[in-house]
Amino acid sequence: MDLSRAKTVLIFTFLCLNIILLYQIWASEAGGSPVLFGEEEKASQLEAALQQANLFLNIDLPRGGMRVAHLEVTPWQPDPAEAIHMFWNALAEGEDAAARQQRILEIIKNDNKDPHSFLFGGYELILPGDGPLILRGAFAGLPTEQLRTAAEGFIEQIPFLNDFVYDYKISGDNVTALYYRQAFAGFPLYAGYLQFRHIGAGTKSSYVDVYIYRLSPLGFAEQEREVIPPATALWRFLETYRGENGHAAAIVEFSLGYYSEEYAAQLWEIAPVWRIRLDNGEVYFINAFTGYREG
Amino acid sequence: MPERFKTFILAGLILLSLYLNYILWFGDRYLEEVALPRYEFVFFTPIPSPGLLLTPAEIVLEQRGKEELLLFRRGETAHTHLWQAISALLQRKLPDAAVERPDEAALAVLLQEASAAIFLRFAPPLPQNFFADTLPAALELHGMRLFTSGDVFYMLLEEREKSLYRWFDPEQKALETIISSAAAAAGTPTEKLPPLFVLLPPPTADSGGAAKIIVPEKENEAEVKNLEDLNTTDPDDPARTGDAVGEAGILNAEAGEREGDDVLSEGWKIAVPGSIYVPATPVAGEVLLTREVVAEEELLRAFFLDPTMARRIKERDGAIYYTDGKRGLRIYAGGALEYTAPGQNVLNNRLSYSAALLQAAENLSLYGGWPHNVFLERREKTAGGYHFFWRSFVDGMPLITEQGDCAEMIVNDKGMPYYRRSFYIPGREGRTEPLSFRHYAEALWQAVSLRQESFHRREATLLELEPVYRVLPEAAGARAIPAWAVHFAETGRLYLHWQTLEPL
Repeated sequence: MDLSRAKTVLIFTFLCLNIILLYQIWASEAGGSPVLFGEEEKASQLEAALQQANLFLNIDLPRGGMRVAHLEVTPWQPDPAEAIHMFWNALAEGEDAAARQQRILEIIKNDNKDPHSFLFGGYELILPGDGPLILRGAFAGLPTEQLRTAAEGFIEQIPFLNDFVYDYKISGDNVTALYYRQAFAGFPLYAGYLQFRHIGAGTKSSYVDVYIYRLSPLGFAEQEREVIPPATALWRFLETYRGENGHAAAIVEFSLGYYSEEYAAQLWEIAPVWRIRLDNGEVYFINAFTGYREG
Repeated sequence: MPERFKTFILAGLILLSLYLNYILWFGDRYLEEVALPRYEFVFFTPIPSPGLLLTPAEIVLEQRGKEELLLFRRGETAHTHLWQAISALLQRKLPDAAVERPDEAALAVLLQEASAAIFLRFAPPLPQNFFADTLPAALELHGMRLFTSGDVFYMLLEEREKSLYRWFDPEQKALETIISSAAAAAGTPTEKLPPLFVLLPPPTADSGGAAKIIVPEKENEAEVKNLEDLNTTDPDDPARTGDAVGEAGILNAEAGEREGDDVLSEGWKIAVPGSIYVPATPVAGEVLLTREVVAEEELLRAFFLDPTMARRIKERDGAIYYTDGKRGLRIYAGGALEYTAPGQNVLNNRLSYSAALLQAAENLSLYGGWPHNVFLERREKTAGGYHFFWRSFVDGMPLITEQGDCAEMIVNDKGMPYYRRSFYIPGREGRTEPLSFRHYAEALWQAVSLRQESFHRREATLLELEPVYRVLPEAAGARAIPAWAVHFAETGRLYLHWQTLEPL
């Protein structure tokens, strides 16, 4: 028996085996396709659970395995005069800047309402202590097809809206809503949103109400940890999903970001979440650390 | 040389393949798959033994030949020693005791023959199996009376049915020792309020007299009827006269003299449905308090599976709120804490009282600890579980905080959906000179005068009357002010300053 040749054969055999094992580990950690033994069975169980919930998954699940931390934020407190100035300039040009500034100061001075409400140039700005800032009566008579262009132009002209990016659109009876979400450090910050609600879309008396809820991110917490895989998040979602009167719906988005409720607090931490958006407009958030449903 | 090199390579590859197989099958699983609900079971204080987690609200010593009763209250050293001695004695003796349903007449004779008796009142009630395994587990114990007659030692339980436990004690040493140690201990001389009495106003403002009570000489139905007649609103009603009172056999228990018509017509009939023991001459002074501050990090580790999973929210009032989406822990700037876990609410609790009590005691020790001189004060049974309330005691008197109690907790078969904790620590320094309380009759008069609009007639039902410490939170630090706690069924609780009788 040639011991040397036998060793060589064994070395090659184990080398190949180890390469295969390494690939399996890498693929499993990436949270992607079900390559591991038994994973096919889990995938088929997940498909069955989706069918039972009358849900369709028409997209690929994103990759997991990311390590993230909580995000610390404070509520954004706009200066009313500055906000009115920017909104007015963005919505209606052509007036003398100094005269407009003087009128803004008078509007601010005369405000004694709670929540604060300011009327300027045919628009109304409502500034509640907590919750979203509301701008009423923008883009009067705007055709629906021009809503996105108008919204983008509006965002461009207002510096504190520059960290909002387009999210999705929902159309209903007489109302079309464009959703933008805040972004921070490459992550979607779902808790911060900008919404353009086009009321009376398609009519001459249409107008747009703008809702702005913005957060001031302070940075990430020190402790990073791995997020749960998307498949696990989907399982957790299905455990609590009750559906809408048994109607079928499709999952149109499955993404990782940050979300929390709107707190009347000084400072808070936001957890990473898997956002699951359905084609009927419903949006669900699954905590990417604990698997609990948020919101 | 190349052969040895090949051997090393081969061995290395075999070891690597074993390691990779291990990783693939067992290693690196995700958090929620591997982490069992394993909390850090580091107790802030040890869990009290079942005999100590619920102690009698009152221990009263009655001695034949002595009119004065001795009262031992929670928070007093003598109370603790007495209760330990009694519970140890009964746990030792009860297994050998014979039990019977006593005949009323025979029981009255036995009680009359007893040279002394000790009465224990439990509020909230004690699950009987806490006390001795031989007692029925499902029953609750509200009170017990211990006495000896001849060579026999008796324990009388007066629940729905009276049960008399007895065992032969030829030397009578067991209870005698306890009774003599109780008599020698610093008990508070006390009086038991009669089931019915008349509260009289102060004679005049100038004479400096005080309100007082008069007690019916005999407690029978006829007297009660006449006393009710006193409260008629018709000024010409003959029942409002002193004759009617005289017929009813009413004597002034304080002064020993009959009262005049006018004073009596202004009297209030006070009914006392329960047993109320009032210290004869309570003495107390103001006490400075500090808030208990529980170590935040340790609390977080106790409450959350992994504290790093809990999000931190700093609220505008300075409170810090931690939540992992399922439960929330709010730590107030002053040190109070509040925990909620809505997912643990149930509609139909199946946990027994004794199990809930043990669980509550464990939780209190685990989530902040069981401070010195803190006692379970109240329990409410609801469909969602048992609601427990604890209070701190200072010198035998309860501390009544802004919320009333220092801690509260709901326990059910799913867990602990709610917990609040805000203990005060009495300071050794900064106490004012102890002064005697105003007489309780004056406090009662002040209470009915302040809340006259709550009564339809000049009659009231007194549910509680006790000296307490009322906590007044102030910027400079909280103070405990001695006060009479007066609880009429018609008015709710009133706290009256122990010197001025002003409401607190």
